[in-house]
Amino acid sequence: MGSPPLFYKWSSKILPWLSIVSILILGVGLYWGMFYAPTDYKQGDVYRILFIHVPSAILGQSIFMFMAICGFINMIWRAKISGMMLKSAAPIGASFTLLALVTGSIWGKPTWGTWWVWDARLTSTLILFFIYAALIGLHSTIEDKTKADRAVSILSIVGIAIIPVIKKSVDWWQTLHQPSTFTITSSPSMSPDMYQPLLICVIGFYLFFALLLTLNLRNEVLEREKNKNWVRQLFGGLS
Amino acid sequence: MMQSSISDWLTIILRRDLIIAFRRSSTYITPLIFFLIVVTFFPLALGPQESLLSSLAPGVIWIAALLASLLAVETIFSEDFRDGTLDDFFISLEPSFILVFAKVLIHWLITGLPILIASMIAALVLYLPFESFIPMIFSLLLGTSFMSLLGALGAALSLGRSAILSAIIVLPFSIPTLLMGTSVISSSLINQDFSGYLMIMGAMLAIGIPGLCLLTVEALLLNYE
Amino acid sequence: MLNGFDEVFIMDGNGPYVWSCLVIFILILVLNIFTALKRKNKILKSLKKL
Repeated sequence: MGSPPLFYKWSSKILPWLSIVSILILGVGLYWGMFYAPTDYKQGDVYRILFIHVPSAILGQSIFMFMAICGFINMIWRAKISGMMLKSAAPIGASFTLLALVTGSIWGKPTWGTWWVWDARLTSTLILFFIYAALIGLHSTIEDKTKADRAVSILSIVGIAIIPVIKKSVDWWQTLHQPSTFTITSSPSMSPDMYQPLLICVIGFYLFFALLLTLNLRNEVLEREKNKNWVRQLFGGLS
Repeated sequence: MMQSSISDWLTIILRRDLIIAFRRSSTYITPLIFFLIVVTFFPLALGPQESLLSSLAPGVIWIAALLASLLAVETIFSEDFRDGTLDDFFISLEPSFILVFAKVLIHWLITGLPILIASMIAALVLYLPFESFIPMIFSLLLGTSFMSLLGALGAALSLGRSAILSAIIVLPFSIPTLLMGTSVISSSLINQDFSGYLMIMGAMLAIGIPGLCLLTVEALLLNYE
Repeated sequence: MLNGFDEVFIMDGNGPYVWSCLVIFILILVLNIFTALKRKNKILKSLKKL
């Protein structure tokens, strides 16, 4: 699927299946989590936010990893499609990170009593969101799309190098200023009744990311290859 | 003809840029004044209580230093890019890594170094205890150098575009520097060991000099395609 | 299985928090899909003009 026309044809075939499967799995996971999973004995029903919060936090981080890999490929092999992937993934990653922040803050209200706590995880997620914003902002200011892709690739590589340092330093900062009194994540020995729907939700989120990425990528491919022959042939017969 | 070595090349760029910088005093005065003004604003806004100010001093000094070092970031490449000197540097077959390194060094000399000196005045004014001066100087030394490296990358990526863009690009990545820099001073305030933070900052600098300079070269080359 | 509106919506008192999270989640997903589809229509329209 290296070349844009091949990707376009291949994705047209897979798109209906991907959308059905992703929505189905996401629906099953969330329905299970909302109605069938048992109530947590410590936190009560509010823990059900976990079925949205945890997958979106995971996605926010793994999409950044994905972007950095795309950026690396784009820098070394100059593969056009990897630059487009990078560009298409950025808004999705930003929205999942924002979702993780918002749901985390809604979860915080009943459990901690405030909408926002300078907890290490929340803070580093907020910084991740700022980095996504910087990447999107940089891409939008450069007119030449391939140049913009490469500029964002450079920045995403810096990002992936510095994110572990940010996490570590935020942890230290927190221990210096205020000892951590609350942890969001439940104990590792999570009951299987809760773990199974969470796993399904995570898989559903990943599939949904794949769906959104495919949609965005197809748009990107069409827009940039507007004047190529294969696009003309594909859409010339329509009008 | 003697083939000029890398160190000759470095000294040529350094001398040229330093002369240019010193002819126009605003290049090194502006960040300095900006730093002192920002530091002054905190007592004005928060009140002059000594205990409050000395506990806030590490953060105040670091925020002012970060903002001041970002102030002159635009000038790192923009002037040479506009008059075509940068093209000449890239055409000459010397490693362009050296050019970027020299530019970062110049930026540090005209912003980081004055800030370093002014920080002592700021520390006095903010009632930072005298024992914390040495850790503050070391953390600023390592931190502002890393900021100059990051700033060069931001300037290269936003070359010829809006000035605020480079600040938005650079600021999220400067957070570890900010956190560790303030942690060094805060730990020294409560007599804790701060060498660990300094080591991490040094390690970031050691990785940043080759890594960020190479990426900055790549970013600059984007303008010549 | 839970019965009744109150039991489903209110849960143990914190239900609204949970449901608002779900609503925001769906909102963000729909927004993402919507912008993608809108952009696709725009591109297709401009392609037909060519």
